[in-house]
Order: sequence, then structure tokens, then C-alpha cells
Amino acid sequence: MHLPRTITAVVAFALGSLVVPAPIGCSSDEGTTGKRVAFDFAVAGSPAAKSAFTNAQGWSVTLERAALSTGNMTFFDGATIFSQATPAWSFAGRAAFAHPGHYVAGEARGEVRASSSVDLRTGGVVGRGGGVSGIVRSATFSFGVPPQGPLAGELAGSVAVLEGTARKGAETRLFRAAISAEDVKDTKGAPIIEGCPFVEADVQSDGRVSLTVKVETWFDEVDFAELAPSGDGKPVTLPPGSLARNTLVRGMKAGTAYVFTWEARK
Amino acid sequence: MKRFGIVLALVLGCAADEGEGSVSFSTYGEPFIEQEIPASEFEDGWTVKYGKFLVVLSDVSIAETEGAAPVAKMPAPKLFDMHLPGPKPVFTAGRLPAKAYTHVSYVIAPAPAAVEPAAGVSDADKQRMVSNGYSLYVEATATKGAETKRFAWGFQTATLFDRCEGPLSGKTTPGVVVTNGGTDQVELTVHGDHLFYDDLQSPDAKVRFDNIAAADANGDGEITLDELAAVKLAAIPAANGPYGTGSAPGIYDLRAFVEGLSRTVGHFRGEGECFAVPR
Repeated sequence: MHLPRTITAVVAFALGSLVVPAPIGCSSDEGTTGKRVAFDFAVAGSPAAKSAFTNAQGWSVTLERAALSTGNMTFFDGATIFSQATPAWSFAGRAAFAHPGHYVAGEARGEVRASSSVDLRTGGVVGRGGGVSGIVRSATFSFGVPPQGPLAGELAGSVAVLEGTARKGAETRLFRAAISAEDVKDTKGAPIIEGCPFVEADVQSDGRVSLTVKVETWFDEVDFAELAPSGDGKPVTLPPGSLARNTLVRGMKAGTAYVFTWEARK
Repeated sequence: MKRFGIVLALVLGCAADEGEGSVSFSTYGEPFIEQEIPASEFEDGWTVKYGKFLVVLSDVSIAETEGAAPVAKMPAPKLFDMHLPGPKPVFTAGRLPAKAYTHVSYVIAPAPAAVEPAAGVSDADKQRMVSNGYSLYVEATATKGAETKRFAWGFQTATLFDRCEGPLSGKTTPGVVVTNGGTDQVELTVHGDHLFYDDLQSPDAKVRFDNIAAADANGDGEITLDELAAVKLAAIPAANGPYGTGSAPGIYDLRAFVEGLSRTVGHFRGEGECFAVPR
């Protein structure tokens, strides 16, 4: 059974610096402007996060440590690449669509400007932010650099620290990986993941955003066979430059590992 | 007069709703496909010359708005060889009420048995596309100094290029604009360099061939899709390109990566864009 190891981080919007677009167009019904919306904040861990999951290489993985440094997040109306999303028409009356070959974020709808750190097994407070009403379809996730918040010491400058046990048949590997901001930087050199899916929502009121970090996606293609078995019961660090570590880093850079959802305040 | 009408419509932000006109679609592979992708385009000094670039275009569709019923639609799929010189006629929609039609889309999908070969496309090419279920097939030679590599890749991807927009009279315009007595000439442009991008999502993607050339595991000079499949993206050194996949799921090797890129070749009015939706 494939049990996802997840975190649900509920973050809050406060009134931010987003510009509310002005209406443009020849049709009178396009004259709607966004209203400011505020979001409660909370962080909740997923119950499944404490269970083992099996990756695509057949390894059953259990995490004993999963610390993540989080930074700013921004939410957009543009859809992710190759998505089946319905069209994204901005308030300005032009299409905010993803181009073939590259992601176009479109209009910013909300942002969280806070750095913190969370235990992915239990969840934790990430921060708060603000936004304007409208359709949201994608997000930018940022790793916090340097790490702040309750796990800053444990992270010790890394953006993620992962320890656990991987089992496959008679094989057991105790592993550890400390991932740096340099590891996860994008093509512009920033430790951010653009074009993450935001489950499409028409945000028209206050509410909350949940971020689910799909740890199973991070580890999905990692083959732990490359890692030496532990000789002393302590985790063995994934060697820098190894295929196993590179695969983990690629998983961490996949937008599909960061899923945002919206829930209106009841 | 036609251009003035289009410009006036754009300035006003609305189309003139008088009379009738037409829209004529063509397709063009630009010098990159017809001649070569020069070394100056590649980060690593390769030159690529296509010998064949077969594309199945279908379902070119015009609608007044998103969600509205099409007012005109290409009647049947057509097979083009973009390596043949010059723009190639695709489909003309005539006698359309003069106005802006903001929703235009088209499809690149596997060839059905009834696909119509465009001028210059051989029956053997048609059979190759139909029997293999290809939507796109390319043959090319890549050179760098004394090194030469060849490849012949067929793709079975089906992609809707939706909500197209592109430059018209100096302004990015969604869809087409029909003016009274005029013809909006629309080019469905195919970009041959996209198959060599080093990132599926980033607008900063570079054009590279070193990693593809290195995939020639048996050293016979022919790079097959199976050889690309043997190259894990995680094994590509960071200095050789990011090969990021963004939110495209399940892409872990170079073959899957290039197949993903094959969904990005379709454009609109030159550098104009559409929303690529897998079908």
C-alpha cells in the first residue's frame, strides 16, 4: 500500500502589497475588480506522514526526521504546464496562460511573506499573508534561507534534513540527507519551485490555504541500493553527486511535490 | 484597408461587427527546420539539420469566445513535412461575420488512416505516420567539429494547442480578427529548436545537444529513443543543464523529457503561444 508521507501546512493571508488590477475591455461585465481577502493560518500534519511508503524503485521508506525550511509563497491565476485547467482570464482581460515549453504565472492572487521551519511528520506554522479575490491555479514555493523558526537549529543551514530507513526485501538502508539551498536553486539561482499546482479555486472570501508537501514524490525514484549499509546503526549520508542524492534533489525540485489547496472560512 | 480595419478594431478594443471576411491558416517551419539550427543557438556548439519533420495538424478551430461553438473548423487532419520550403496552406474559413474571434485552437495528434498528405509528402511518409501512430516524426543530423550524430524519432503524443494568441498589428491578440472583406493570415508556426530545450518549464531554457549525443551508448552514430530512455535525468551533471520538469509528472529519463518537449513545438503567428493540453 502506498501511503503518502505528507504535511499539511495551513498558511494565512494578511492584507499584502498586491495590486488590484483595473478593469479593461469593451464588455461592461469585465469591470470587476478583485477585493482584498484575508486568510486564517494554521499548520496541520497529515496522519499518513508517520506511515511508511513504497517508492517506484520498490523501497519501503520510513522517515524518522523530516525538517523543512519554508520561505515566501506566492499564488497565481496561471495554470501549471501541461495541465487540463480551464482558461485563466485575468482582471485585465488578457489570458494568463502557460505557454508551450514554459510556465506563465499570470496574475498574483496572494502571497505569504514569512520564513519558518516545520517537521514534515507533524506539521507546523509556516506564516501568514494576504491576497485579492479571483481564480488561483498555481503557486511558487520558496525554501527559507537561512532557516528560521522552531527547527532552524536542526536544519543547521540546510533547507531540508531527512533521515530514515529504507527496506527492500532483505536489504535495509539507514539514510540521511541534508539538502542545501544550492542544491534546489532554479535556473535563476533562487531556491524556489515555480509552477506548483494549486487546486483550482475561486477565492472570494477569507479562508485558508493548505500546502501539502508530498514527500513520497521526493523519494519516488530514489534507489537506495547505491547507499552503503550502515555498519554502526547510524544513518549513512547520501553521498554528494551520487545518483541517489541527485534523484532525491530532482524530486524536491518537482512542482508536483508541492500541492496547495484553498478552503473558505466557514 | 484590411490592416487599417484590424488596427482600428484593436485600438477600440472591440471588433467592427459589419460585413464578412475570412481567415486563412498556413503552417511554417521557419529556417530552423527548413535549413538548420546553427551552432550559435546551441549552448554546446552543435548544429542540427533536419531532413524530415512530419507533423499531423488537425482540428483547427475558430470560436467567438472560449466555450462557444466553433464558427469554423478544419474538416480533416493533414500531414505536413515542415522541412519542405515555405509556408504551406492548412485551412481557410471564409464568409465569417466580421468580428474578433478570441478562441482559436489546433491539435497535433497521431495520424488517422484518412490523414491527407500535403503537397510534397510521400505516400511512404503517410504510411510511416499512420502505421506507427505518430503525430510527429523527425529525421536529422547533428554535427559538432568532426563528430556527427543522426537520429530518427517518432512521437505518439497528442496535444491540443488551445487559446492561441500572437502578434497582430503589433499587439498580442487572442485568436483571430475578421474584418469586412479582409483575410486574417494566420501562421501555425512549428519551432524545431524546442526538441533540444534543457528545461520543460523555465522560460530561460537553453538549447543543448551534448547530453543527447552522449546517449549514443553503442557509439554507432545513431541516437535512438531507447538510448535516450536509458539516460536518467538525475545522472546528467548540473553543468550540462537543469532538465527541470516543473509540474509535468513522471518524466525521469531523456526520452520522456524529449517526448514532453514534443508537446511544445506548436506556436501561433511566429512567436505567439497557445496553451498546451495533453489529450
